[in-house]
Amino acid sequence: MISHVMAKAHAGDLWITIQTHPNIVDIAVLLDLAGIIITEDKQIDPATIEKAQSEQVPILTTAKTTFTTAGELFRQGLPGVDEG
Amino acid sequence: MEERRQLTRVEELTYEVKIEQVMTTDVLTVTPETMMSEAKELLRNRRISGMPVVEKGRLAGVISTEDIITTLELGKDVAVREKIGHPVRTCFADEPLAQAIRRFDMYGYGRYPVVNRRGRLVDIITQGDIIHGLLRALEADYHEEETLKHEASYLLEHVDSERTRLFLSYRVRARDFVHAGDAARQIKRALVRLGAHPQAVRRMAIATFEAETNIIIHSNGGRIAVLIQPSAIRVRATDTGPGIPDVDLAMQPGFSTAPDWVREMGFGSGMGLANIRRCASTMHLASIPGRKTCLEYTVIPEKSIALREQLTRSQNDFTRNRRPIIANGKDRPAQIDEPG
Repeated sequence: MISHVMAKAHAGDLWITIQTHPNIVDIAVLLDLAGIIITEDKQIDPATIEKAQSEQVPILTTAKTTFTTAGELFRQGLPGVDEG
Repeated sequence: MEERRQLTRVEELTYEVKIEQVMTTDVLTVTPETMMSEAKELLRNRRISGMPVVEKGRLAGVISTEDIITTLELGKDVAVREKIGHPVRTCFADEPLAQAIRRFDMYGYGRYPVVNRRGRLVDIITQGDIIHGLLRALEADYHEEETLKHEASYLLEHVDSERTRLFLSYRVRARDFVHAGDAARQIKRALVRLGAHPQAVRRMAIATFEAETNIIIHSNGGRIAVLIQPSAIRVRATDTGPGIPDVDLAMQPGFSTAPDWVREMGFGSGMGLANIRRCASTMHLASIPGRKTCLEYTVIPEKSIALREQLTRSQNDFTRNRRPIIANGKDRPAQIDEPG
Protein backbone atom coordinates (compact mmCIF):
# COMPACT_ATOMS: atom_id res chain seq x y z
CA MET A 1 0.00 0.00 0.00
CA ILE A 2 1.11 3.53 -0.74
CA SER A 3 1.47 4.69 2.86
CA HIS A 4 3.77 1.76 3.54
CA VAL A 5 5.98 2.82 0.69
CA MET A 6 5.93 6.37 2.09
CA ALA A 7 7.01 5.02 5.45
CA LYS A 8 9.68 2.58 4.31
CA ALA A 9 11.33 3.76 1.10
CA HIS A 10 14.57 5.73 1.08
CA ALA A 11 15.81 8.20 -1.49
CA GLY A 12 17.46 6.33 -4.36
CA ASP A 13 15.45 3.12 -3.82
CA LEU A 14 13.84 1.14 -6.63
CA TRP A 15 10.15 0.40 -6.13
CA ILE A 16 8.71 -2.87 -7.42
CA THR A 17 4.93 -2.74 -7.67
CA ILE A 18 1.87 -4.02 -9.50
CA GLN A 19 0.20 -0.60 -9.16
CA THR A 20 -0.02 1.45 -12.35
CA HIS A 21 -2.09 4.55 -11.58
CA PRO A 22 -0.47 8.00 -11.97
CA ASN A 23 -0.03 8.44 -8.21
CA ILE A 24 2.90 6.04 -8.21
CA VAL A 25 4.87 8.75 -10.04
CA ASP A 26 4.00 11.25 -7.30
CA ILE A 27 5.36 8.85 -4.71
CA ALA A 28 8.57 8.40 -6.68
CA VAL A 29 9.03 12.18 -6.97
CA LEU A 30 8.23 12.84 -3.31
CA LEU A 31 10.61 10.19 -2.06
CA ASP A 32 13.30 10.76 -4.71
CA LEU A 33 13.11 7.12 -5.76
CA ALA A 34 15.51 5.93 -8.45
CA GLY A 35 12.65 4.40 -10.43
CA ILE A 36 9.69 2.05 -10.53
CA ILE A 37 9.47 -1.54 -11.80
CA ILE A 38 5.97 -2.61 -12.84
CA THR A 39 5.54 -6.39 -12.83
CA GLU A 40 3.44 -8.97 -14.67
CA ASP A 41 3.44 -6.90 -17.88
CA LYS A 42 0.55 -4.96 -16.47
CA GLN A 43 -1.01 -2.42 -18.83
CA ILE A 44 0.17 1.02 -17.70
CA ASP A 45 -2.25 3.90 -17.63
CA PRO A 46 -1.18 6.39 -20.38
CA ALA A 47 -1.56 9.19 -17.81
CA THR A 48 1.05 7.44 -15.67
CA ILE A 49 3.54 7.28 -18.55
CA GLU A 50 2.91 10.92 -19.42
CA LYS A 51 3.46 12.00 -15.83
CA ALA A 52 6.58 9.86 -15.53
CA GLN A 53 8.00 11.52 -18.64
CA SER A 54 7.34 15.04 -17.43
CA GLU A 55 8.67 14.25 -13.94
CA GLN A 56 11.66 12.29 -15.29
CA VAL A 57 10.85 9.13 -13.35
CA PRO A 58 12.12 5.93 -15.04
CA ILE A 59 9.53 3.15 -15.26
CA LEU A 60 10.68 -0.38 -16.13
CA THR A 61 8.34 -3.28 -16.87
CA THR A 62 8.72 -7.03 -16.61
CA ALA A 63 6.58 -10.08 -17.33
CA LYS A 64 7.71 -11.67 -14.05
CA THR A 65 5.79 -11.48 -10.82
CA THR A 66 6.75 -9.03 -8.07
CA PHE A 67 8.07 -11.93 -5.95
CA THR A 68 10.33 -13.26 -8.72
CA THR A 69 11.55 -9.78 -9.70
CA ALA A 70 12.48 -8.97 -6.12
CA GLY A 71 14.11 -12.39 -5.79
CA GLU A 72 16.25 -11.90 -8.86
CA LEU A 73 17.40 -8.44 -7.82
CA PHE A 74 18.18 -9.79 -4.36
CA ARG A 75 20.23 -12.60 -5.85
CA GLN A 76 22.18 -10.06 -7.88
CA GLY A 77 23.20 -8.45 -4.61
CA LEU A 78 20.62 -5.65 -4.28
CA PRO A 79 19.41 -5.49 -0.67
CA GLY A 80 15.84 -4.63 0.32
CA VAL A 81 14.78 -1.78 2.62
CA ASP A 82 14.85 -4.21 5.58
CA GLU A 83 18.57 -4.77 5.11
CA GLY A 84 19.14 -1.04 5.75
CA MET B 1 11.17 42.29 -31.33
CA GLU B 2 14.76 42.05 -30.25
CA GLU B 3 15.57 38.94 -28.35
CA ARG B 4 16.86 39.61 -24.88
CA ARG B 5 20.28 38.13 -24.37
CA GLN B 6 20.94 36.04 -21.30
CA LEU B 7 23.26 37.80 -18.87
CA THR B 8 26.00 35.50 -17.63
CA ARG B 9 27.24 35.42 -14.06
CA VAL B 10 30.61 36.74 -15.23
CA GLU B 11 28.96 39.75 -16.85
CA GLU B 12 26.99 40.32 -13.69
CA LEU B 13 30.21 40.22 -11.67
CA THR B 14 31.81 42.88 -13.87
CA TYR B 15 29.18 45.24 -12.46
CA GLU B 16 29.52 44.03 -8.86
CA VAL B 17 33.30 44.07 -8.62
CA LYS B 18 35.01 47.46 -8.49
CA ILE B 19 38.27 48.36 -10.17
CA GLU B 20 39.96 49.05 -6.82
CA GLN B 21 39.26 45.43 -5.80
CA VAL B 22 41.31 43.92 -8.62
CA MET B 23 44.06 46.46 -9.43
CA THR B 24 47.71 45.73 -8.76
CA THR B 25 48.96 47.42 -5.68
CA ASP B 26 52.50 48.76 -5.38
CA VAL B 27 52.56 50.38 -8.79
CA LEU B 28 55.89 51.44 -10.26
CA THR B 29 56.00 55.03 -11.57
CA VAL B 30 58.48 57.36 -13.26
CA THR B 31 58.67 61.13 -13.47
CA PRO B 32 58.75 63.17 -16.70
CA GLU B 33 62.44 63.77 -15.97
CA THR B 34 63.32 60.05 -16.01
CA MET B 35 65.44 59.12 -19.03
CA MET B 36 63.97 56.59 -21.47
CA SER B 37 67.01 54.30 -21.05
CA GLU B 38 66.30 54.18 -17.32
CA ALA B 39 62.59 53.50 -17.95
CA LYS B 40 63.59 50.67 -20.28
CA GLU B 41 65.64 49.01 -17.49
CA LEU B 42 62.75 49.37 -15.02
CA LEU B 43 60.32 47.72 -17.43
CA ARG B 44 62.75 44.95 -18.19
CA ASN B 45 63.64 44.23 -14.56
CA ARG B 46 60.02 44.18 -13.46
CA ARG B 47 58.91 42.33 -16.61
CA ILE B 48 56.09 44.81 -17.17
CA SER B 49 54.95 46.55 -20.32
CA GLY B 50 54.11 50.05 -19.12
CA MET B 51 54.25 52.57 -16.28
CA PRO B 52 52.36 55.72 -15.30
CA VAL B 53 54.31 58.96 -15.35
CA VAL B 54 53.68 61.09 -12.29
CA GLU B 55 54.55 64.74 -11.79
CA LYS B 56 54.05 66.23 -8.30
CA GLY B 57 51.51 63.56 -7.40
CA ARG B 58 49.45 64.12 -10.53
CA LEU B 59 49.27 61.74 -13.43
CA ALA B 60 51.13 63.15 -16.43
CA GLY B 61 50.94 60.20 -18.83
CA VAL B 62 51.75 56.59 -19.46
CA ILE B 63 54.89 55.13 -20.96
CA SER B 64 54.97 51.71 -22.64
CA THR B 65 57.43 49.36 -24.32
CA GLU B 66 56.16 50.71 -27.63
CA ASP B 67 57.43 54.18 -26.67
CA ILE B 68 60.79 52.66 -25.71
CA ILE B 69 61.12 51.00 -29.12
CA THR B 70 60.39 54.21 -31.03
CA THR B 71 62.97 55.99 -28.85
CA LEU B 72 65.59 53.34 -29.58
CA GLU B 73 64.85 53.72 -33.30
CA LEU B 74 65.78 57.41 -32.99
CA GLY B 75 69.19 56.36 -31.74
CA LYS B 76 69.35 58.87 -28.86
CA ASP B 77 68.20 58.85 -25.27
CA VAL B 78 65.50 61.39 -24.32
CA ALA B 79 63.51 62.24 -21.20
CA VAL B 80 60.16 60.52 -20.67
CA ARG B 81 58.49 63.98 -21.02
CA GLU B 82 59.24 63.95 -24.74
CA LYS B 83 57.16 60.79 -25.25
CA ILE B 84 53.94 61.54 -23.41
CA GLY B 85 52.28 64.02 -25.69
CA HIS B 86 48.89 62.30 -25.98
CA PRO B 87 46.17 62.80 -23.36
CA VAL B 88 45.89 60.00 -20.81
CA ARG B 89 42.75 57.93 -20.52
CA THR B 90 42.08 56.80 -16.97
CA CYS B 91 39.65 54.80 -14.86
CA PHE B 92 38.24 55.77 -11.47
CA ALA B 93 39.01 53.36 -8.65
CA ASP B 94 35.37 53.18 -7.54
CA GLU B 95 34.00 52.37 -10.98
CA PRO B 96 32.77 48.84 -11.78
CA LEU B 97 35.05 46.53 -13.74
CA ALA B 98 32.66 46.76 -16.68
CA GLN B 99 33.84 50.35 -17.17
CA ALA B 100 37.48 49.30 -17.50
CA ILE B 101 36.55 46.43 -19.85
CA ARG B 102 34.69 48.89 -22.08
CA ARG B 103 37.80 51.10 -22.23
CA PHE B 104 40.02 48.17 -23.18
CA ASP B 105 37.55 47.30 -25.95
CA MET B 106 37.34 50.87 -27.25
CA TYR B 107 40.94 52.07 -27.15
CA GLY B 108 42.97 48.91 -27.04
CA TYR B 109 45.66 50.11 -24.64
CA GLY B 110 47.32 47.41 -22.55
CA ARG B 111 46.80 49.22 -19.23
CA TYR B 112 44.95 52.12 -17.69
CA PRO B 113 46.06 54.30 -14.81
CA VAL B 114 43.51 54.24 -12.02
CA VAL B 115 42.86 57.57 -10.27
CA ASN B 116 40.72 58.55 -7.35
CA ARG B 117 38.01 61.19 -7.65
CA ARG B 118 40.56 63.90 -6.75
CA GLY B 119 42.63 62.98 -9.79
CA ARG B 120 45.50 61.38 -7.89
CA LEU B 121 47.03 58.21 -9.24
CA VAL B 122 46.24 55.24 -7.05
CA ASP B 123 47.14 52.38 -9.30
CA ILE B 124 47.16 50.78 -12.70
CA ILE B 125 44.85 48.13 -14.16
CA THR B 126 45.66 45.55 -16.83
CA GLN B 127 43.53 42.94 -18.58
CA GLY B 128 45.31 40.31 -16.50
CA ASP B 129 44.11 42.06 -13.32
CA ILE B 130 40.55 41.89 -14.61
CA ILE B 131 40.75 38.17 -15.40
CA HIS B 132 42.33 37.38 -12.03
CA GLY B 133 39.78 39.53 -10.22
CA LEU B 134 36.84 37.84 -11.93
CA LEU B 135 38.23 34.39 -11.23
CA ARG B 136 38.63 35.27 -7.55
CA ALA B 137 35.04 36.60 -7.43
CA LEU B 138 33.73 33.43 -9.10
CA GLU B 139 35.65 31.30 -6.65
CA ALA B 140 34.18 33.24 -3.73
CA ASP B 141 30.70 32.74 -5.23
CA TYR B 142 31.25 29.03 -5.58
CA HIS B 143 32.63 28.73 -2.08
CA GLU B 144 29.59 30.50 -0.65
CA GLU B 145 27.27 28.14 -2.50
CA GLU B 146 29.19 25.10 -1.23
CA THR B 147 29.06 26.38 2.34
CA LEU B 148 25.31 26.92 2.12
CA LYS B 149 24.81 23.39 0.80
CA HIS B 150 26.45 21.88 3.85
CA GLU B 151 24.69 23.98 6.46
CA ALA B 152 22.01 22.29 8.55
CA SER B 153 19.24 24.44 7.11
CA TYR B 154 19.13 27.80 5.47
CA LEU B 155 15.44 27.95 4.75
CA LEU B 156 14.60 31.45 3.49
CA GLU B 157 17.68 32.74 5.27
CA HIS B 158 19.05 34.37 2.16
CA VAL B 159 16.18 36.83 2.52
CA ASP B 160 17.01 39.76 4.79
CA SER B 161 14.01 40.84 6.78
CA GLU B 162 12.98 41.14 10.40
CA ARG B 163 10.18 38.66 9.89
CA THR B 164 10.14 36.46 6.80
CA ARG B 165 7.06 34.40 6.05
CA LEU B 166 5.91 32.76 2.88
CA PHE B 167 2.35 31.50 2.55
CA LEU B 168 1.38 28.78 0.09
CA SER B 169 -2.15 27.52 -0.43
CA TYR B 170 -3.54 24.59 -2.42
CA ARG B 171 -7.10 23.52 -3.08
CA VAL B 172 -7.72 19.77 -2.77
CA ARG B 173 -10.78 18.28 -4.44
CA ALA B 174 -12.71 15.28 -3.13
CA ARG B 175 -12.11 11.95 -4.93
CA ASP B 176 -9.67 13.63 -7.35
CA PHE B 177 -7.04 10.87 -7.39
CA VAL B 178 -5.63 12.11 -10.69
CA HIS B 179 -4.21 15.12 -8.88
CA ALA B 180 -3.38 13.36 -5.63
CA GLY B 181 0.13 14.36 -4.63
CA ASP B 182 0.21 17.56 -6.66
CA ALA B 183 0.16 19.83 -3.62
CA ALA B 184 2.79 17.73 -1.82
CA ARG B 185 5.01 17.74 -4.89
CA GLN B 186 4.71 21.48 -5.41
CA ILE B 187 5.41 22.18 -1.75
CA LYS B 188 8.43 19.89 -1.87
CA ARG B 189 9.80 21.73 -4.89
CA ALA B 190 9.24 25.11 -3.28
CA LEU B 191 11.06 24.01 -0.12
CA VAL B 192 14.04 22.70 -2.09
CA ARG B 193 14.29 26.02 -3.94
CA LEU B 194 13.96 27.98 -0.70
CA GLY B 195 16.90 26.11 0.76
CA ALA B 196 15.26 23.77 3.27
CA HIS B 197 17.39 20.91 4.60
CA PRO B 198 16.77 17.61 2.71
CA GLN B 199 15.51 16.01 5.94
CA ALA B 200 12.92 18.73 6.46
CA VAL B 201 11.88 18.52 2.80
CA ARG B 202 11.44 14.77 3.06
CA ARG B 203 9.40 14.93 6.25
CA MET B 204 7.17 17.63 4.76
CA ALA B 205 6.74 15.69 1.50
CA ILE B 206 5.57 12.51 3.24
CA ALA B 207 3.32 14.22 5.80
CA THR B 208 1.73 16.47 3.20
CA PHE B 209 1.09 13.63 0.76
CA GLU B 210 -0.77 11.77 3.51
CA ALA B 211 -2.76 14.85 4.52
CA GLU B 212 -3.61 15.52 0.90
CA THR B 213 -4.82 11.98 0.16
CA ASN B 214 -6.86 11.98 3.39
CA ILE B 215 -8.79 15.00 2.11
CA ILE B 216 -9.25 13.35 -1.30
CA ILE B 217 -10.44 10.03 0.16
CA HIS B 218 -12.61 11.09 3.06
CA SER B 219 -13.85 14.67 2.72
CA ASN B 220 -15.96 16.84 0.45
CA GLY B 221 -12.86 18.86 -0.42
CA GLY B 222 -10.52 21.12 1.43
CA ARG B 223 -7.38 23.16 1.42
CA ILE B 224 -3.75 22.79 2.38
CA ALA B 225 -2.10 25.94 3.62
CA VAL B 226 1.62 26.16 4.33
CA LEU B 227 3.36 28.88 6.27
CA ILE B 228 7.09 28.83 5.71
CA GLN B 229 9.41 30.65 8.08
CA PRO B 230 13.15 30.20 8.58
CA SER B 231 12.48 28.57 11.95
CA ALA B 232 9.57 26.29 11.03
CA ILE B 233 7.22 25.06 8.35
CA ARG B 234 3.59 24.94 9.53
CA VAL B 235 0.82 23.21 7.64
CA ARG B 236 -2.91 23.42 8.14
CA ALA B 237 -5.01 20.91 6.20
CA THR B 238 -8.70 21.71 6.53
CA ASP B 239 -11.73 20.11 4.95
CA THR B 240 -15.48 19.98 5.15
CA GLY B 241 -17.15 16.60 5.26
CA PRO B 242 -18.01 13.78 7.62
CA GLY B 243 -15.26 14.64 10.11
CA ILE B 244 -13.68 12.09 12.44
CA PRO B 245 -15.96 10.76 15.23
CA ASP B 246 -13.08 9.32 17.27
CA VAL B 247 -9.79 11.09 16.72
CA ASP B 248 -7.80 8.80 19.04
CA LEU B 249 -9.04 5.71 17.21
CA ALA B 250 -8.22 7.30 13.83
CA MET B 251 -4.68 7.92 15.02
CA GLN B 252 -4.08 4.20 15.62
CA PRO B 253 -1.88 2.66 12.96
CA GLY B 254 -3.87 0.40 10.66
CA PHE B 255 -7.26 1.80 11.55
CA SER B 256 -9.02 2.71 8.32
CA THR B 257 -12.48 3.67 7.15
CA ALA B 258 -11.52 3.82 3.48
CA PRO B 259 -13.89 2.04 1.08
CA ASP B 260 -12.68 -1.00 -0.87
CA TRP B 261 -12.29 0.79 -4.19
CA VAL B 262 -9.89 3.24 -2.55
CA ARG B 263 -7.92 0.39 -1.01
CA GLU B 264 -7.69 -1.29 -4.39
CA MET B 265 -5.83 1.81 -5.61
CA GLY B 266 -3.29 1.34 -2.87
CA PHE B 267 -4.64 4.02 -0.54
CA GLY B 268 -6.49 3.76 2.72
CA SER B 269 -4.14 1.45 4.62
CA GLY B 270 -4.76 3.30 7.86
CA MET B 271 -1.11 4.32 8.05
CA GLY B 272 -1.55 7.91 6.88
CA LEU B 273 -1.97 9.68 10.21
CA ALA B 274 0.74 7.49 11.73
CA ASN B 275 3.08 8.55 8.94
CA ILE B 276 2.28 12.21 9.56
CA ARG B 277 2.93 11.82 13.28
CA ARG B 278 6.25 10.15 12.54
CA CYS B 279 7.39 12.92 10.17
CA ALA B 280 6.03 16.00 11.95
CA SER B 281 7.69 17.80 14.85
CA THR B 282 4.28 18.64 16.32
CA MET B 283 0.83 17.52 15.24
CA HIS B 284 -2.74 18.39 16.17
CA LEU B 285 -5.86 16.78 14.81
CA ALA B 286 -9.31 18.09 15.62
CA SER B 287 -12.69 17.42 14.11
CA ILE B 288 -16.33 18.36 14.41
CA PRO B 289 -18.11 15.17 13.28
CA GLY B 290 -20.50 15.76 10.39
CA ARG B 291 -18.93 19.12 9.63
CA LYS B 292 -15.18 19.48 9.32
CA THR B 293 -11.67 18.36 10.18
CA CYS B 294 -8.55 20.38 10.83
CA LEU B 295 -5.11 18.85 10.88
CA GLU B 296 -2.12 20.95 11.82
CA TYR B 297 1.46 19.87 11.84
CA THR B 298 4.84 21.49 11.95
CA VAL B 299 8.17 20.49 10.56
CA ILE B 300 11.00 22.24 12.32
CA PRO B 301 14.40 22.22 10.65
CA GLU B 302 16.95 20.34 12.75
CA LYS B 303 18.70 23.40 14.11
CA SER B 304 15.49 25.04 15.30
CA ILE B 305 14.35 22.29 17.69
CA ALA B 306 14.49 24.72 20.60
CA LEU B 307 11.47 26.50 19.15
CA ARG B 308 9.23 23.47 19.36
CA GLU B 309 7.85 23.95 22.83
CA GLN B 310 6.96 27.52 22.09
CA LEU B 311 5.09 26.44 18.96
CA THR B 312 3.23 23.69 20.74
CA ARG B 313 1.85 26.28 23.18
CA SER B 314 0.77 28.68 20.47
CA GLN B 315 -1.45 26.35 18.46
CA ASN B 316 -4.57 27.97 17.12
CA ASP B 317 -8.02 28.21 18.70
CA PHE B 318 -9.47 25.45 16.59
CA THR B 319 -7.36 22.82 18.27
CA ARG B 320 -6.92 24.51 21.62
CA ASN B 321 -8.77 21.88 23.64
CA ARG B 322 -6.80 19.02 22.18
CA ARG B 323 -3.81 17.39 23.73
CA PRO B 324 -0.80 18.02 21.50
CA ILE B 325 0.61 14.93 19.88
CA ILE B 326 4.37 15.09 19.82
CA ALA B 327 6.19 12.88 17.38
CA ASN B 328 7.50 9.78 19.15
CA GLY B 329 6.77 11.51 22.45
CA LYS B 330 10.44 12.49 22.55
CA ASP B 331 12.27 15.76 22.30
CA ARG B 332 13.53 15.23 18.80
CA PRO B 333 11.44 14.81 15.67
CA ALA B 334 11.62 11.37 14.10
CA GLN B 335 14.62 10.97 11.87
CA ILE B 336 13.80 9.69 8.42
CA ASP B 337 16.68 7.55 7.28
CA GLU B 338 18.59 8.38 4.18
CA PRO B 339 20.69 5.63 2.66
CA GLY B 340 24.29 5.82 3.80
